[in-house]
Amino acid sequence: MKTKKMKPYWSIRIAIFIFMLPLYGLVFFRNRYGVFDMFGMSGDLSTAGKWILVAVAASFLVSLFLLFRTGKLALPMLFLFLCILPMQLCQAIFTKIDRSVPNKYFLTVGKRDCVTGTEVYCNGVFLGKTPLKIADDEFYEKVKPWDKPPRQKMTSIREDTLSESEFKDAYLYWVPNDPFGNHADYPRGEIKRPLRNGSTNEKIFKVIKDIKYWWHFKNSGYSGITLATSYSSGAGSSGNVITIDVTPRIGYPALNKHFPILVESLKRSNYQPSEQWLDHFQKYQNLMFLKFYNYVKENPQAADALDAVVRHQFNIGTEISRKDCVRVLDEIMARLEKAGRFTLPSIELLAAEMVCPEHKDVISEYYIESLKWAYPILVWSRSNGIITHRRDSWGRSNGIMTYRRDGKGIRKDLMEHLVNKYQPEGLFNRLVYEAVDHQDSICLAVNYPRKESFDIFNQYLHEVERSSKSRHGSDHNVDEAVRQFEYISNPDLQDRMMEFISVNSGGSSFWLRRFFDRQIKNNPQDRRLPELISSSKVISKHDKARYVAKLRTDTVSNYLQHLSSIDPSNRRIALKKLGKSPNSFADEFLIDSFRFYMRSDNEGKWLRDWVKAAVGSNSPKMGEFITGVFEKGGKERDRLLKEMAPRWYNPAMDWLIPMLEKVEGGDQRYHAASILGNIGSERAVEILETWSRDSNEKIAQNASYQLGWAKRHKNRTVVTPDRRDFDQKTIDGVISGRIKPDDLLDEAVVLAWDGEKYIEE
Amino acid sequence: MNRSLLKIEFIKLRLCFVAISIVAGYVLFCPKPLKSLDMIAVLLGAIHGMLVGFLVYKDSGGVEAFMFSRSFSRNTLFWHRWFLGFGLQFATLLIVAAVIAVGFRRWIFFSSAYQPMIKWYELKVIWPISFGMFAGFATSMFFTLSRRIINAEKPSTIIKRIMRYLSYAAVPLFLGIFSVFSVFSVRDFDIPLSRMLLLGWIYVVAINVVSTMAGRQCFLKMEINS
Repeated sequence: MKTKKMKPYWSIRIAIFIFMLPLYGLVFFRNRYGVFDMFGMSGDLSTAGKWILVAVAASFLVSLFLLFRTGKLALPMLFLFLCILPMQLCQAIFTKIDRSVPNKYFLTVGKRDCVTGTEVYCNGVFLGKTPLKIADDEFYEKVKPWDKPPRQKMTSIREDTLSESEFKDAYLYWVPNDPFGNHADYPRGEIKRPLRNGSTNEKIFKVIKDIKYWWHFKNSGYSGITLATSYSSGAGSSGNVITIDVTPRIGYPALNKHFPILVESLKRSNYQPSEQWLDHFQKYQNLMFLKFYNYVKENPQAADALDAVVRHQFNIGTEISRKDCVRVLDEIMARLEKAGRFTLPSIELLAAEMVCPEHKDVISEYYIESLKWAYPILVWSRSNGIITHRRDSWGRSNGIMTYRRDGKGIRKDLMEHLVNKYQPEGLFNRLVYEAVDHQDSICLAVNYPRKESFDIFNQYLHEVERSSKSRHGSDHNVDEAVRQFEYISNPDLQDRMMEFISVNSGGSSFWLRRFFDRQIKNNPQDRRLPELISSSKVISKHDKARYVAKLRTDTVSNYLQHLSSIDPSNRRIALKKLGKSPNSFADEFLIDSFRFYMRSDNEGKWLRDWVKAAVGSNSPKMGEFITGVFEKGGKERDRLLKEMAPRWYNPAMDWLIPMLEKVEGGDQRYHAASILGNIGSERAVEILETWSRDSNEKIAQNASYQLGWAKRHKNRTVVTPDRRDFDQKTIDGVISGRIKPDDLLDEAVVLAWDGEKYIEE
Repeated sequence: MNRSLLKIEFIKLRLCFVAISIVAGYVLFCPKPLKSLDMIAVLLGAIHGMLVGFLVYKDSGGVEAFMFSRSFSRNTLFWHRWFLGFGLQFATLLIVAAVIAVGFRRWIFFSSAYQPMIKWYELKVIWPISFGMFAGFATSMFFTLSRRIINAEKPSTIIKRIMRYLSYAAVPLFLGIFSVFSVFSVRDFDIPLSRMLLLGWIYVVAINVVSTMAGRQCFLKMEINS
């Protein structure tokens, strides 16, 4: 007998719905491709796109209906998957092909800057503080265009240079830029860059006459002036959304006047800052901190003042309890999240370093907590078992390192720094465990001075080597490993790193060059480096010559000659590098290069660099060689005399004087006088005095001039800004806030637009 | 439940011991340190859970007739089987924990630089295994019982039989698709992993509750073939 099919119970239907709920939720709410978002973007779709969207919605509803009607899985799932394909089509095809859909523009200002909180004004309208993001429609609604270029209250232009082509290098109070206009054709067309470096005043005036948007920046009450021609911007697009990033280079002239007054005030109080001083500093610390930090590095007696600044700002007492440590770290985290960046050095870092040393367990706790937020992306494990995570972005300029990451992920950057510095013992095992997936953790773990560190590092490198040699492996893993080397400071691992690099070349030279930069800076005497650098497959020939020229080993000359024999242009590059940073280990190469170029009768500028390198080296060997050239005389000596004449200063080269004394002939003695001025020793000055009475007027004139120069150079003293005298009234006025930083500025050249150009008002 | 019934249940579940061995073997011999986000562990756990759910609630003709002709209520039978299923899963987790805690992995991978520092952290692998196991058990229990009540008659043709088994295959397919979509959702919504895992666990608990309720109802109402 045939059994009658039973209808499913409601409990079954509900159960199936619960089973399917995440899938329905994802199809509905998925970012960009979800039904919810698709309806939100329906205005951007073409007619065909809209019909597909209707089909998607119908398919979704039919799927739900069938689920509750039949209580079965197959058909509802089929309809749900029917939703997914058209959704992808809608996004991928119909929005991109339809050119009638207008682009949406967003402007970000100061996103990549390490200083945040800069007030942004356009045509006198306050738009917000950096990092700032504004949409084009909002911008045009707020900001009305200016008909003509505005009056410039403050510039970096000097009165005497106004008529020359100085405008290209000028910093202006109002800087012209039409970001949305410049990117109107992007991404289909090019970005317009009307203002460029190297333009003449006339060209620049012609362009800015038509610019309707003028920008000004302020920070902590300081008025900023911005480079007119280098208002850098970049752009990226995703579908019809285009984001323009602008990072202006801003200078704050009042800062250089304000800072010495604060320092002078501090000095007068014997580096014990008052509450009023601390409050004042806090008000301006956004820009002042780095300046003060560098000052303290050069003047350690001011360290207590920096300490007081940090304590004052974070309310840290002399006794730091665990509770204080947690409170301060929470405050720091909140600041970093708000700014979306972590800068080294920064006041936040100093505060963290102040509270954490006695509470290493808190470091461990916060580090583990930060891991939850640092890797929101779940990455599928690759066949080699190595998973890589990159920092979102980072940048380094003038010794300042800035990590940028949105949200709570930025916490990990600070915690990594603290873990690396204080190495809490209880965290080691956890770091080793995390190291399997996250290479950042492996650096932290192997920096611990423990015997296990080497084994862990070795195993990690073995895995990388194995993966790069396997069929599916790539050089990418090697590059990633080399990238990590930058963060490894454990001296026990240096040999292993070198060994790794000697065997594995990787695919990109970027991280390898950074590695060599660091190694050469830390240990230029390392005898393994020349071989490593010259045998590298990814470093360019020219970079090799540059790197080897910086080393301080007795094999430098041999390697430079070898590189020059491979490619003669390397010789020139090495000479240039040696000219900038002379190296006595490269003497043989210098001698060989001199002969090489003289033999080939090369009239290029090589000799200028050669002279710089030889003068800088000033080794007995070079002395002997130059003496030989002088004694031999002839064309070689004359060319050398001529090229040695431009400015340098090295009294230690007075061994050259007897040869110079012997020089005869008008032009030759003229150049010899210049060289004597460059040497500037007592004996050189005596000879110059004699020559200043020479019957040849040209020689006498030059000798007198050189005499003056040598004396001036000898007596030259450096005036540091804090040596200036300030009256107590000014200092009190500034600290109390009666005198604003901008009031300290001297009267600047004010420019007004006369219809064609800027003229002094 | 009397001893003979229990004996029959254990005979039905003999395949599960192979699954337990596979899970334990993976934990013992996996060369990489065991992590809380181990997708292979989730998969093995899911296979184990599905096998337990299927074998516990699937009866061959003879067994079915014997079981349901005893003096036990269907409710008692359902709950006894339910506890048996969960008991087996917890036993598997205990075995896995013991393998790690005793330090067998350290002896096997003695040359690994990561051992023994990571020994206790490796216990985290219990989370993905149990996640897969409980999700697999609930899914398998529900679909086995709902199929027994919806498609009570035996498939008459080979094609229908194939279709029936294909519909069973939809279950792991569904689980797999869910995993893939989970990954995409984490990327898209930028939800921290910890919160995503919490959501996952809430989902697993929810499907266990609803599948137990629906499965019980099916078990109480289903027809028995004699």
